[in-house]
Amino acid sequence: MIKNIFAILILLCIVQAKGQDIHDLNHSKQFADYLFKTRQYSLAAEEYERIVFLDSVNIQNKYMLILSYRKAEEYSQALNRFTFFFKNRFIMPANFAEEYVKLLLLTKQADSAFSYLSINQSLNAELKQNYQLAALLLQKKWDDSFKYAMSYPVTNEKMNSRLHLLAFDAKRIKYKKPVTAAIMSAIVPGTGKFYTKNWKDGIIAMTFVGVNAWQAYRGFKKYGKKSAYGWIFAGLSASFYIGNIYGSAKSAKKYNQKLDDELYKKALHIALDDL
Amino acid sequence: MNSTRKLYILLWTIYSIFSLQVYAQTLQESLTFADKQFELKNYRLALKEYQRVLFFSTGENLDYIYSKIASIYFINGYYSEAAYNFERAYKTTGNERLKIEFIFKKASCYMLDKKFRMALFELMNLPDSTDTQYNNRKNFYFAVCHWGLEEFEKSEKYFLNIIPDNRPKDKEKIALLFAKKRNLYRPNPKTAKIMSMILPGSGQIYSGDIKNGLNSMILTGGFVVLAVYMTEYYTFFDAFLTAAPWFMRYYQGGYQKAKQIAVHKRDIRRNKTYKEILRIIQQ
Amino acid sequence: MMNTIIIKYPNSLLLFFILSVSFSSNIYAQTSEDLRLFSDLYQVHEHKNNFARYFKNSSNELELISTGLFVFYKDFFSSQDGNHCVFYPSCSIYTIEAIKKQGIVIGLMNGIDRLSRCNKLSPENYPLYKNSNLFYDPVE
Repeated sequence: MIKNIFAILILLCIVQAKGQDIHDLNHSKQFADYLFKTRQYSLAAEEYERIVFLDSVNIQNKYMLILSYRKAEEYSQALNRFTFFFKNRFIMPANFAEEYVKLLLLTKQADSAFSYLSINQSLNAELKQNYQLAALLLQKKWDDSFKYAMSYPVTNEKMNSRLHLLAFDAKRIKYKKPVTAAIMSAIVPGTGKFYTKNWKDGIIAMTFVGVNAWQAYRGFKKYGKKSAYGWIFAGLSASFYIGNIYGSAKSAKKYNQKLDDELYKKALHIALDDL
Repeated sequence: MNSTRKLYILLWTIYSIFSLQVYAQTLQESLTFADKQFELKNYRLALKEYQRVLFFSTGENLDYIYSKIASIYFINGYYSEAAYNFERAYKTTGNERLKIEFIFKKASCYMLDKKFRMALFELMNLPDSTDTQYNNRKNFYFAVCHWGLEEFEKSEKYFLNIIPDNRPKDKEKIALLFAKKRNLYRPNPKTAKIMSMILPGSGQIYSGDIKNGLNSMILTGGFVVLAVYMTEYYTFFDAFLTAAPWFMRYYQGGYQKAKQIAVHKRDIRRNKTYKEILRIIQQ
Repeated sequence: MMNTIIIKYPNSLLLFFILSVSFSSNIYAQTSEDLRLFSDLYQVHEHKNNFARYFKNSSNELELISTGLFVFYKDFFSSQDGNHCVFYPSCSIYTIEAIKKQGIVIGLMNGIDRLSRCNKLSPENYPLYKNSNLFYDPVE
């Protein structure tokens, strides 16, 4: 009888030994979750990598692996994992599909995200439409975004309503024309910058051109064409005049760029939600 | 109690001890592995493995693990993270000697981060002792901190404490290094600034930067000449409009630069003095 | 079996003891290590601008002359003005880089426009450069 009990005991010990190994699946999972929670995403990704290796069936671990890579900003690694995990990316589970779209948007592949979404079969219709709208916004196609937003209903859902609002904003966007700015500054120095709402820069440009021109005038008035003083200030005034024409056009371009960037940033923020 | 029941209790005890042992062993293995990675300077992996041990820890070796994590941060130059983990090591250890070591470590984190007040605050927690080596180390830390705060009199006191009484010559040498003003306070940035305010460029030359001094002199002088010329041929008003903004720009820039140069040269001398003191102590 | 278990068990305690002793041994051991740790604490760093490197990339005479003027300006004037420029990169470096990138005509216009924007009045237009309080405005 004692022999039997010992046999059982040894068996138990072996089982127990396996259960208590802190490198086994269960413990590694706990530890990886801890690393993820403490925002050490890069280390967490490594740990999930091992977990996925130990247990290639569990789908949640794979999801956490990809999520960790995204949070660690290792996007290419994250995208790379999809090729290993799924033969057909169009029918993978919804949370993976969503993650895949987010990664495409983050890596400036909004056009691929759009076409992916039109074929994908796992995401529900509204979510697909939301992400497609976001993808259009992230390509800075404001008119297309507006048309797309009109094509499906506004709901109370957070992402839906925020994206719709953004698409309306995008429709109303008013650019400044660089040529107009340049012409305005050519006629009256500084006004091109007023047009692009750079009031302070406009006033300063006006003053620079004006004061130098006035000094040149004083020089010429006193000594005529031979006045070095006059020529120097005339040169300075002319330089600032020409520089300001270029600067006004540039200011308009920057103004437009800023508008675009703000919308882009908002769209990305809505699409990622958790960033 | 019958014998079977006794046997079961015995078996259960053995089983529990054994399973605990296994757990401890894998923890121990991980710790050894982490130590090995630390030794190999594979700090990223070591950091992860130490955290794993910490996460599953049953409460053993906490101070050791925290100190190792702190060391990893320390070695890689993340001093505030290092200080935070040395603090945790300090709190988890029961060993008085280790407590002292961790205080020194925390202080050194702050010192390397140039937060000398924080370091002093830590060093205040050190207990008194009659041990010479310990006191020397303590004095050294205090001396370096006060040096960093430009409190040279205090710093001198602590440096002198380190030198034993049977080395009066070395004591004298250090006292002499501190006594000479040119070792610590020259060139004086204030003097340099005021000199350049009175005569542009003179502060730079006083600080030993002749090239910059002449540069400043010629530049500001040039604008003065321009102003005189303008007053002669045009009006004082024209001279003012043309030359004054430029003159002011380089005049102001000049005396600010004189101060900067003086600070720079002074700090070079201070560093030289500091290294000389360390050399004397090391002997 | 029992024996082996009981002998094995204190291992970790023993190891802990060894570890503790091994890294507490230097508590009183002064200062050679500390001396090394703090020896470069007050090192003063020299930083020198190497503007001459701009000469190397000059492809024609006009560029060479403008680069020469720029280096002279940097060495003789700009070094003396107490860092008045509010931008990173500074106006003169911006201009020279603009000329390299956009050609002498557009580059100069760009540079002159930059000069007229060189004031603290419009902080809303620029991000700050790293840990400084300079506006970040590179040539695009």
